Amino acid sequence: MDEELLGEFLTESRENMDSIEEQLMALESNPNDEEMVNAIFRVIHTVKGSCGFIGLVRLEKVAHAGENLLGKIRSLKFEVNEDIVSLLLECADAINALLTGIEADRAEPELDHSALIHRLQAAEQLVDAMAAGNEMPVAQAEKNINPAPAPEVSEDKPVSSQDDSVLKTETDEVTPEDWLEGYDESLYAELRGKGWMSPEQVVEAGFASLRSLDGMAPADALKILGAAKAVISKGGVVKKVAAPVVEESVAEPIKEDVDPEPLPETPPARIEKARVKEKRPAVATVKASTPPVVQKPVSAGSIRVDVELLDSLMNQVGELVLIRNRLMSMIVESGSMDFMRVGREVDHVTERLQAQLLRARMQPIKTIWGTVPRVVRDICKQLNKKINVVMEGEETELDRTILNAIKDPLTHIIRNSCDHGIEMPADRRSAGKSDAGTLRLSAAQESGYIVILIVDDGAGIPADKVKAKAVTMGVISEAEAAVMNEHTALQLIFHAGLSTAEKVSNFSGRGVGMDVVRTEIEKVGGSVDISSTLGTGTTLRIRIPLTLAIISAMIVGCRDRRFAVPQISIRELLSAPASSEDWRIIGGQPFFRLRGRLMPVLELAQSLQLDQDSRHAGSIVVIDAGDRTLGLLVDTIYGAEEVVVKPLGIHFSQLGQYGGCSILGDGAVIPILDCNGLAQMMCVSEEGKAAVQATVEEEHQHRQEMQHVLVFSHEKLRYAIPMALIERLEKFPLTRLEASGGSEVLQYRDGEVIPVLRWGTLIEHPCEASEEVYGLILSDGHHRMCLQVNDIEDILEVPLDIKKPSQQEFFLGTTVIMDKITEVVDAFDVIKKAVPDWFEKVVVDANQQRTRILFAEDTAFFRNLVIPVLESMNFEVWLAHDGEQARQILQNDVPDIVLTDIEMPNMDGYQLTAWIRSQQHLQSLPVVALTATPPDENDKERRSGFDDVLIKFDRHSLVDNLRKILKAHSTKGASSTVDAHIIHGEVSQ
Amino acid sequence: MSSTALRPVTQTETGSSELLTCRVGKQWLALPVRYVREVVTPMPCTKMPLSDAAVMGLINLRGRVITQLDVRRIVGLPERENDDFRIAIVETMSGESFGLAMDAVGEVIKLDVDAYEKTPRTLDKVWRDVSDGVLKRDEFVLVLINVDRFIALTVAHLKDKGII
Repeated sequence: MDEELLGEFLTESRENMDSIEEQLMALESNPNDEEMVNAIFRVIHTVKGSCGFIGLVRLEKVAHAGENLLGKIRSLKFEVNEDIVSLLLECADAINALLTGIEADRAEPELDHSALIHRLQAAEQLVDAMAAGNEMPVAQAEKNINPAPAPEVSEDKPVSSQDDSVLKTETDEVTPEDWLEGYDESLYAELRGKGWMSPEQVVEAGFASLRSLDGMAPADALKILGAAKAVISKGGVVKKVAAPVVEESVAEPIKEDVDPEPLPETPPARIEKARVKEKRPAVATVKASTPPVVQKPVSAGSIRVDVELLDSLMNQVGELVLIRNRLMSMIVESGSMDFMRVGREVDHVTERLQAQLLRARMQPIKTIWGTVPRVVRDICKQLNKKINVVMEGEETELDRTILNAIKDPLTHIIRNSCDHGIEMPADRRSAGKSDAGTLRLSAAQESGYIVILIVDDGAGIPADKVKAKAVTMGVISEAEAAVMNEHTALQLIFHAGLSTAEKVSNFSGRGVGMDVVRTEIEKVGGSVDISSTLGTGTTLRIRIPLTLAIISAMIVGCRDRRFAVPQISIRELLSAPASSEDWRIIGGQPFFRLRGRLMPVLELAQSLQLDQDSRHAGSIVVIDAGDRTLGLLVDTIYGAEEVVVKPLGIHFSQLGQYGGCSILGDGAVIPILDCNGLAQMMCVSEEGKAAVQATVEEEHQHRQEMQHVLVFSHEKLRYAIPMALIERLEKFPLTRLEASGGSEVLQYRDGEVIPVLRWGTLIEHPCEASEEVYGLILSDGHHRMCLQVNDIEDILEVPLDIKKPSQQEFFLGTTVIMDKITEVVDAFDVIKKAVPDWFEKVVVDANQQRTRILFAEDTAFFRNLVIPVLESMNFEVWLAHDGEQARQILQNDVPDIVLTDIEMPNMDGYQLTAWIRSQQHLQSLPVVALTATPPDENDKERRSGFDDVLIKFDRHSLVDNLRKILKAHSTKGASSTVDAHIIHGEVSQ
Repeated sequence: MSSTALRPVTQTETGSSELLTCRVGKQWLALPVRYVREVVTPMPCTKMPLSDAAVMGLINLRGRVITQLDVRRIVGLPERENDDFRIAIVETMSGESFGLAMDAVGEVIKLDVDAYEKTPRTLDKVWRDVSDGVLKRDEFVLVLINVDRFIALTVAHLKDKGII
């Protein structure tokens, strides 16, 4: 086979076939578009014609069958339906698959398309039959009497008569000699004899006809055709390439005995096979909406460039940039004005060259989105769904390497969305949505990155289902699942081997999971995230760098070395002088407090073993490493620079800390750090891990210590009371307070009479109350009291950090709220004052042994909150101020239950529990943690040591849960000495 | 030692019988010229923390980043005390280039097959591991270096995996 011919044929066929899919789908949505039918017909026809010439038998057969069907559709003006389009798409796929095979092996691949051909023929019969059944123009009905022959030339003419007339009038004077040189007179005579005077007419005649001329060598035929096209592309005689395509008389007669059964359902296997094809980005694609009347000549505007050449050019330019940099510094040193001028020009040219070459490597994202409508359409057909595809930002450009890398993951995501995301039309209707789902793809540039969104308006992903699956698959434990938040649970989809599809379909759910999607995207420095709302839809967000070759990096200095940190990993930069109060050292691990949260800090000098000297001063680069944020401590930050990424040699392939290297403007080589690799170093020591964990805990606690307080004022002084105890805030006229037996009462709802205390009286600063006053109703569900105050300032969420503890009655201490000194009210003192027996409801039998509880809590504030509750439950409370104290107590005495805070100095709740669990005599001792932090996936494992974890401030759950646990333990028997009777009595209270 | 190491480096095998002589400490070595791209003088070298012992760092050779290896460290000689050395840029079979820091670079010589001997057992083990034999000269012995093996010797993770 002639290599050159074949190459030309492949290039041309590819270009033509590239647009056919779009055109077929356009035809589907607008079946009356005759021009579209023509365009499609021409493409298939050209392929058929040329491959006959080159001797590609299989391809010719497939193309021929497709051409016949299209010819029939065209001549009968048949309105295509979905099935026909499916079939034609299959035909196009088959052609593409063959082309791909030919491209790879330079020979036709062994693909059997006989079934497809058979169906194409059947469809042709069907078209005939259906057209005959309809009311047809007489002229066409006449033709249908004899359904077999392919349309004749003359019959085709009317379809594009306008074009023809143009051709006729303008080409009559033209002879082949006018535009074709170097051939024998006999050839010109032949051409004239055939009536092919103009290049247009030759092109119109096609390869096959040209080749069939006497004495025409195949190569000459192609050359003549090429020459004809060249003339046309240069503006030739007529601008339009001949629109009508002539059906050769060599067309195989249609088999009469073809079973005229209705078009068979498309077997799924076919679709599968056909999708093997690889679509190359079109250099000159034709928009589907505008029928390609003009075949864009190959030579116009764009050329094909070998990607390797482009890559090598990029490297060369990279080197040129560096040489330029050195040259510039030499020129500056020389001080010569002439040199300077030349240098500046070199500088500008280099810069432009670099920018333009980068541009040359960019391709619009639509080159990979082009196949999406087709993919979606096929899925719709198979699953009987209706999905509209909406694309935004198709022109957004990306480096081709990255485009290639995200192509497959993107297709996978799209298939998933269609298959699992968007519901069946009936389901959609019952959910109150329109029948047709919408799949929205959008791409946009966002500061050096491209953000791609794939949004469907389907059913959404049930997070609990993902969790359940993850538990089944052993990815997470049930305990972990219980405390995992929804967003985190959804990300489990990217975990290997987790596919939520209940049934395996042709399109997705076959085990090639989303983990591959994530891996692929991360490979090119991107990230992917999923979010979903049940019933509303799912959104996948992909963030990838624009280009891999040149990245924006922050140049940092550590000791006397320089390093580049990719900007994509950087969140922010902080100045962290040694004097900063935000430094914390926990378990030998440095942390830096950033906006109230502790962030673990990795010292670059130590991680890279530059020296062992821990300085805790300099600048912190806050980096995103995987799912964590950490600070990278460096000495200096020099600034941002665009750097050309170069690979490192074999000696560094095992060093995850480096992502590559680059050359700076001064010619020095600089390592590029890989933040993920660095972050992994951080986790080596268990001690470090624990410290991080502790910090997370602290962080949570810190957040949780933010509590709602009510701030009221009295005589220009401000007081705060935790909202946890306030049931209601009442505003009433002072007259509602009634006197009763020397004290004041208030008739509350349902005729309940509750004691009232005036704040002014309590603190012995009575003042004139206004007409309307406020009553804070303090309650625990059984008792109520009213604290009357004059003016409510605000209800705020603040960290209740008591600066100056107080010994005074009714006060916990002093704090600062909104920059103002505020006294914190001890609500329990107040309650005790109003209802002295509040906490002593249970009449204790002297003989009964009280339940003993060891309560470890370092914060006075919480001790004061909790102890009264415990006492009200008639517990004998043993108090420890930290874990260590608790441990000492436990060495000598065994209580019935341990209630411990988690965050404590000396020994924290985890350590205490671990110690208890390690002691033989304490094996069955229930340990309950009391924490300000709600359960979180970050610490579920550590919390598993506790029998229960209760939340501070929740008095009811504290009481109820302590009872439950005690009861559970007492029924278990063992060494627990708890008295079930008391518990029972409490419950029945 | 493999059998290939015992055979003389012949014209047919190397495609060239020229050798570049270099000195490290008191030992003279010979690198097949077909491996050697050029010899350069010391240039700024970026140290790479955590890298293998033999790695001096990265150098910028006209825009190409090349790993520079210290031959003294490879063979276990004490650190060089001055900056007076030469870098032989060699390219291995895999296509990666390396800079080999030598104390001195001598001349290009023709391989004299008559002077060839297989590596004597008396030679230091490190030399025996990387040599394809020796050439006897009047005043000293030239160790014929197998460049690929020599480079591989410096890559710790290859050694660990038993590739060498």
